[in-house]
Amino acid sequence: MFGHFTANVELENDEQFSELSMGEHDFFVQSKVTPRISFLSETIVAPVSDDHHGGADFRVSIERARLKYQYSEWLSVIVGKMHTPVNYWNDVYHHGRLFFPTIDRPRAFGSHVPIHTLGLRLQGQNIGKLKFGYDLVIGNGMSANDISDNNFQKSVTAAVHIKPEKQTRISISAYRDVLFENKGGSHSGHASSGHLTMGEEGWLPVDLDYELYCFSLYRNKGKWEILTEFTLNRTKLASSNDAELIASLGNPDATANTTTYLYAGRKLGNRNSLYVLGDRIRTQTQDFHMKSNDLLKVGIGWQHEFSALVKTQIQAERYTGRDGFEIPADDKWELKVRLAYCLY
Amino acid sequence: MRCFIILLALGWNGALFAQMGTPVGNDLDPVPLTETELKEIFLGNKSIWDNNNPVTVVLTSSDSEGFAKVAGWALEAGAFEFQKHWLSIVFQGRANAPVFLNSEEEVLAYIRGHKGAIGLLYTLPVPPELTVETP
Repeated sequence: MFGHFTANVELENDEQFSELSMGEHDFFVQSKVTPRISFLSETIVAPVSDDHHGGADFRVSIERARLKYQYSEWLSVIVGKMHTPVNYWNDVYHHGRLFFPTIDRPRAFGSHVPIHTLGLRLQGQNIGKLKFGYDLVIGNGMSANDISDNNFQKSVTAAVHIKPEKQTRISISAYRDVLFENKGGSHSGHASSGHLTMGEEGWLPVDLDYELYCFSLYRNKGKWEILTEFTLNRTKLASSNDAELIASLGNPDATANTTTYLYAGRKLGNRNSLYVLGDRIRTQTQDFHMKSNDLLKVGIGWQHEFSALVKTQIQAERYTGRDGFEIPADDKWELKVRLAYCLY
Repeated sequence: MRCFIILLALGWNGALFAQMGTPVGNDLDPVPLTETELKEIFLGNKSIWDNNNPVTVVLTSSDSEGFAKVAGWALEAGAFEFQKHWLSIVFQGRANAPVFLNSEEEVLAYIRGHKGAIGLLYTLPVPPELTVETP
């Protein structure tokens, strides 16, 4: 079981806030059913999301449930609900806060990255000297939920990586889906206030072609650990829309939205590290799915690992950005303390 | 005095002294296995043998001396980092969890009963039937 507690102090526009929160608790199971078939699941119990993690209100969610048949190193067939392997963070960390190099997930996680897919995955890994790996996923897209997908269209993810050295991974991926009627379902992860939702000014019930391209670099060698995540999202009106509607909207070009996340940590002895982070998101004005913004977060933190299974992090962050977009520039400071753990 | 401090520092980081133990396995294919190939196995980078037996890595518990020695040899890091490495790749769903046992005697007994299982011994003699050929 993975779990965490977090304390947060925030200073915004001369107002101060503070909170203590108990985060989601993640019950992880991995089991070998036969020599070639394995099962993996993650079920979380999490506080109901609101701005203040209210009361004793919890929800239960099956975040992963997948059966894997391993034919060889170069081919495994996986069926079920999985983390969409578009970038390093979503593939490697996701709910495992014990593994998070920084307290928060990158901003791309709540905005651009389709966090789950329910479907079929072909996977190969550790192929050849460069330890090439690939993942090809076809499944319910971002408009779907865990029990239904009311259209024939399926999302497609194609990802490749190499591991040229121990604890080094370089990966690129492409993801494509159609967002029907501009709705994000439970797999999109697009629940943040940065998205246009029904009833809001600017929201239109149009079908959108959604493309995402990601680059990730992770390296942990010697005293240094680094992680870079870059995403490019292109959204445009899908051909399934009425031609007159497209014309009336002025045949807009595809938007090009980007996120960049950088982490660099310097180990201080066996159990401590000092790190810096930067996280920038830029969404263009004419995007139909997301509110436009240009936001930047930078921070510095310290991590202490009591053991391989318990660690604490303290992180100071400065949120800022540029005005002139639907989401105004942030202007706040935050100080966070996190205790993350795993029991097994 | 200087030599003593250097030796103490080297001893503190077991990784620098790490040597491969004696490999033991049951019905592995292919053999012989080079040290590089063995390292890949103990890092979780191999999951199926050529004879279709699943690879099962068998280790002594994470607080044991044997575990630290395997860590230093395979990952060139301490037991702490090695434990995190395995925890991470199992969590990703990219490797099956290793089997952790309390002693080398238990490691030997487990391997004897499971085809495809592989371990490293540092103290016990290796029975001929479980010997893994190395070049």
